[in-house]
Amino acid sequence: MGKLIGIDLGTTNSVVAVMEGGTPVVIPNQEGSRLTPSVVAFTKDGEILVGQIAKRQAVTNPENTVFSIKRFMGRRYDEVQQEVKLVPYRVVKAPNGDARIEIRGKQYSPPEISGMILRKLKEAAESHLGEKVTQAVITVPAYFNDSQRQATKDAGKIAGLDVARIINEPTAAALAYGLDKKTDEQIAVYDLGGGTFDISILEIGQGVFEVKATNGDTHLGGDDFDQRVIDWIADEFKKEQGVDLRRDRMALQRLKEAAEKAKIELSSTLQTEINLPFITADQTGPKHLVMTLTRAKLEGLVADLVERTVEPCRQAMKDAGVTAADVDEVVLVGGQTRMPKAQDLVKQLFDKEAHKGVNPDEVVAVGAAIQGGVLGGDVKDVVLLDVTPLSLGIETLGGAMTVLIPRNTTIPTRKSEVFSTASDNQTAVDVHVLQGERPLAKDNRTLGRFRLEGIPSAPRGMPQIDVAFDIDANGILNVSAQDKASGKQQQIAITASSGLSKQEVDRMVKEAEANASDDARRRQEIELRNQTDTLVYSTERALAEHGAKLADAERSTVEQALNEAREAVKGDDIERIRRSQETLSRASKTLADAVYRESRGGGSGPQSSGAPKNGDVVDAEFRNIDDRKP
Amino acid sequence: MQRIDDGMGDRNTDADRRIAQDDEVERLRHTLDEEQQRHLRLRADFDNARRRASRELEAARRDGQRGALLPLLPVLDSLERALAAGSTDQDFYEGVAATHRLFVNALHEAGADPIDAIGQRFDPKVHEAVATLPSGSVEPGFVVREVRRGWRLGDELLRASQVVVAAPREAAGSWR
Repeated sequence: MGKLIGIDLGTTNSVVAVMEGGTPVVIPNQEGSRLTPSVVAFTKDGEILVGQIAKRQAVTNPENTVFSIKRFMGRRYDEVQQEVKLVPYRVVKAPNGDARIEIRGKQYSPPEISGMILRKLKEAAESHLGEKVTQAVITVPAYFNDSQRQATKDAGKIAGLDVARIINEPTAAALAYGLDKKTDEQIAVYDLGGGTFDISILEIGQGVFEVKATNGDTHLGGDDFDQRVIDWIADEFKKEQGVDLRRDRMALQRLKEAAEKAKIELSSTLQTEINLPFITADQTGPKHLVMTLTRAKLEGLVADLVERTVEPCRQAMKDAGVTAADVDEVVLVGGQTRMPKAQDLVKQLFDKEAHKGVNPDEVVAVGAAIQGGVLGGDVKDVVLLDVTPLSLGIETLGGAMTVLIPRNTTIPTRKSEVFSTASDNQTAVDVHVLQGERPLAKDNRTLGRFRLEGIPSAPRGMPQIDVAFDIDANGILNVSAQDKASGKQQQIAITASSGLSKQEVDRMVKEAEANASDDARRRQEIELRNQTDTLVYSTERALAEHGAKLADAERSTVEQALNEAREAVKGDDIERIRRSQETLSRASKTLADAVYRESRGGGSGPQSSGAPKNGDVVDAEFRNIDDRKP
Repeated sequence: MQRIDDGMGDRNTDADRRIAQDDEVERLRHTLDEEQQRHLRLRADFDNARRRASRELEAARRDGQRGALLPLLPVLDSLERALAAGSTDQDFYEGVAATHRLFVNALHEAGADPIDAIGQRFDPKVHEAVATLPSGSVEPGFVVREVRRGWRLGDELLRASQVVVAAPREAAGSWR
């Protein structure tokens, strides 16, 4: 059997790798580069260019140069209105509703375009290995749905590759660090690439990876960081010289390169010189751009960009039901994670050092190659499983959605349930396959529907119809229905005809969560009440023990705060409880200070500085209890 | 019956022996076949590995050269910009021009040579378009202006030329 290659089919760049002698090796393309831009161009002469060459001619041929095709994979035209506005090529609606790219009057499906990129990578691998390559493992974002995965598989097929497995990008990254050897750990994968940010929380148990939650920002990445640096340099130069370099296309070109170079250098040095002699000229003669950019300044310029990754991380942890303390491993993916500021933030968020060592631009492809090695028999002992991003079910009586496979179920999986007819002498049933988290069928997404006919006439509730959902290891769903009496069967394979946008997934999940948010608020209230209660208790004790050490005024402040907190906890006014807790915790601090003052003066032991510490300990207990909940 | 049986028995042992020999020959032939196959495969593997090793060695050598030469090119670019800007001090200008020639010669000796661009048909294999410009005198699709000189190392691309390409009158756009 030939080698299985691993491919990271990215939005901006793609990478191919393979196992050689038990080690993953990134394969350079025909131009000698390890990263291949995910760009495809169609020239006037009918030539198809892929990669760096396509990128170089983009300016001359913008409407026939396709980039970011990944954003259209397995998506319907109506779902990608925002994306369509951001690209210079023409996106049209196919008869089946899918997004298609129109080039010189001919329509191409996104899998066809991706297939061209994959073909180039396949050829690079073949020329490197000196043998034919027919099989590949391709990675996709964890949030990709069935149709996006299917579209990726199709792209492989179009490129002449049998796609042995589609795996999630964060899973591949974890695999590259050998985390499959761990047991029962939580892994956070922080992926800040050229144009997208993804955070995923994985769980590894017995060599099986499960994606527990994902979040991110589809339009945030290294390019935005570059832009900040470009703008800063241009603004400074304008202030000093009165010339806006952004209006001079030639100068801007140099500026872009210098900005990216400075950004990269500042990952390893504390300051760098941006030196662009003869950047422009006016009546007075040539002008030079010489500036110093420090790491601190750069960090200031991009602070809000880095900050934008925080909320998705918190949300992902919340969705996964873990806290930072539960996360055992952190993996960094994407070139922008080389920035120390990004690494600091990750360290702060998850309270531990991230894995380093594998090139973050290549780590996903490396993991895919390892998985390829597993499937090809070169590597053993890794099983890879993923989960469904949304619940799957069918429409039942009254327009309800009955879930057969709940969201985040590890796949491959099979689930069947017996249903019956809703009215007497009903001889056919419609099986309406749905995806989503809402209780009503109409609020969820239709994946497909079919009709099972020929059910023998019977009173309602009598016929037994076995409906089975089967998701294979690649996340492709097969639904079948069989009437037990007549043996009549009907089925459907849900493939690439449609798909959900990430936004839709997000929206559906959020809508379903909106109901749950009441519960969350109530839980927060309970926690606040409990915390306040504990603080009242510990302050009372401290006051009884050390109250004599306080001045009268101080003592009465603490007592007042105590009374107010006691009263507040009895009532239902949450704001009042919150305020009283804050006042009391300030007051108890003056108590602690006084005790400390006293103990230092009196030389007594450290045990007397107990009051606020007690609060902390109890607080930690609360968290622990929460943690133990499944 | 009995004799015939005995005869048969003799013949049987004879036949048995022959069969056993045939089996042995067959087994050895099979083993030989297998070993020959393995040997061939190993030789092919070795051959491939050797070819790849020499190719990789060559690539590594090139990579080393590229790594050394690439950072020098922006220095040359600036020198060329200085020359393009000119100077009122003729002697100083001559000196800089001579330095520039030294630089270009040094690159040539290291195996790097400039890529033709102006007046050539735009070729994305060696040219990178940074803009398009409608031009009355230059045919669309040809290079009007060179913004940054491109270089090749032997028959490989070291750095693409950055160029402005003549556009048909309507379209002059920029990507990104």
